[in-house]
Amino acid sequence: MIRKYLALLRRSLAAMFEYRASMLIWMLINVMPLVMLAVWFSMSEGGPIAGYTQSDFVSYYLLLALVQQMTSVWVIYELDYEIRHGDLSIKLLHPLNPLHDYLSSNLADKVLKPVVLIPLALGAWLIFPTMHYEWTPIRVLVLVAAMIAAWFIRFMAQYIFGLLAFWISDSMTLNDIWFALAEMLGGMIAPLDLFPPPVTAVAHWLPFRFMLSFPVEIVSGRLTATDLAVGVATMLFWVGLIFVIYRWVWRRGIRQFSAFGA
Amino acid sequence: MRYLKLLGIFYKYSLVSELEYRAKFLANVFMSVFWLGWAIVSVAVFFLHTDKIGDWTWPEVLMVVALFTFFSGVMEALLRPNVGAVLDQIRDGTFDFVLTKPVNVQFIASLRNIVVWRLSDVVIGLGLIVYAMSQMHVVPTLGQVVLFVWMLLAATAIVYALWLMMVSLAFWFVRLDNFTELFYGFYQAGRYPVTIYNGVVRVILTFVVPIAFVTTFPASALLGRIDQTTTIIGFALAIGLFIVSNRFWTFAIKHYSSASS
Repeated sequence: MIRKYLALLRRSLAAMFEYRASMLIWMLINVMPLVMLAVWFSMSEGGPIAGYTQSDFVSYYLLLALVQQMTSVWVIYELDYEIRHGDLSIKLLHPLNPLHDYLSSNLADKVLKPVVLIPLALGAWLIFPTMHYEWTPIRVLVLVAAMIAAWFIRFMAQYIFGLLAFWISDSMTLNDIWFALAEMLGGMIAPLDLFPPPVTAVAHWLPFRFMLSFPVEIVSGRLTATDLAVGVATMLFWVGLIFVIYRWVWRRGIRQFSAFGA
Repeated sequence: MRYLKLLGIFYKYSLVSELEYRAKFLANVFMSVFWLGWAIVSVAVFFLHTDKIGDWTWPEVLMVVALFTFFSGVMEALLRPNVGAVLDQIRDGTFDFVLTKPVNVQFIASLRNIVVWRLSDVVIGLGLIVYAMSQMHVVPTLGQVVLFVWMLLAATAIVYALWLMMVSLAFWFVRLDNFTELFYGFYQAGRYPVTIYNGVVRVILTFVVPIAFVTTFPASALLGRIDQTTTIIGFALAIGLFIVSNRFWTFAIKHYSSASS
């Protein structure tokens, strides 16, 4: 399996390298964390907001931008195209679940991105030396795991929405709604603490938090050890559930597809 | 006059063909309302912690959100569909037929297509402006309304010019989604009054990608808080961008060497 992945990854890397200019542009496009940072930054000029100082906002949103980059997903556009044009039929003939094909092409992007992101992060550190995180070895380990989980949840959710194209024509719209909810309840518009307490409480249990905000929270110095443990457990629950849903949708979808594919 | 009549025919035709899909129409109205709600919540979060952002009160910021929605509708209904159409035509070589039509090429290439249901954002935006004004219990004076319409026209010209420049790029690039998405990234910043941004960001949003003239300044015009310099700059910018985009388009057309034959 690992050998198969290495082969797939090598192929995807080569393909991605061809389009490195467009990859850079796509990275620039994700300016949303910076827009929100600019707004909160100027708002907190007069003093901290609900315990968040200016440098807290900088620390929060710059790490959030990094997490967003390292968990970016676009599989629904590939999948939607290939289902509609019948290209998926060819992939189904391969002796490998097409999921691995799409996963490896996304992974190639994640292998290449640090080349750009690390210099950017160092630059940010020079500009904002007041950025501060709780870098203990355990938290850093959990952070890495949480980023992988965030990427996985994002990827599988989008993949499932993409598979819905077997049945309905508006799968993209559903994905847009999901994405909008994720931006709102995943800590993009505001850190989750800044919502009214009941909303924050609910958002802590929803999957959106684990798609973006949770990795940042881990090292923000605001999560106690108990919060951290509960968070990780909830995260694992969503990872498991989304995989089960995927299996179920995939089995039924394939039957549906071959029904009119022939 | 002839051009207006032509537009009337094009748009009537689009409307008739879209009315065939009424379920889709309803779904899209639902999405417009959803996005409006989303935009409002994303502003309301700030007002949980403060009563003014960038010196704008809650109903005043709603006006900016309203203009943001209004111009999203304008772009999605009138401008973006034409970008896609021109790209397709260049690729298939059918752009030749556009060139041989007995009307101005820029006119037909940039305004021929419309997605009627997206105008729902325009209507919702206007409704929100009325609502915000009623929340403030103010009736704008005639002078403010005139200034508002003036700034709205300037904003429309600016948005049109920016999109025309993006369409022109189609003569060199096979895909344009990089450019349109980059533009949308900047446009997102227009959901908030430009006064909340500091330094470089504000300069960029005012003069480089002049989103401030699209969402913030028309709102300030209606609120009677715009100064004369800004209205003049807005007008000059609109005319300037319109001319530049027209030149760029003409230059791009010359670059076109049909895909057929």
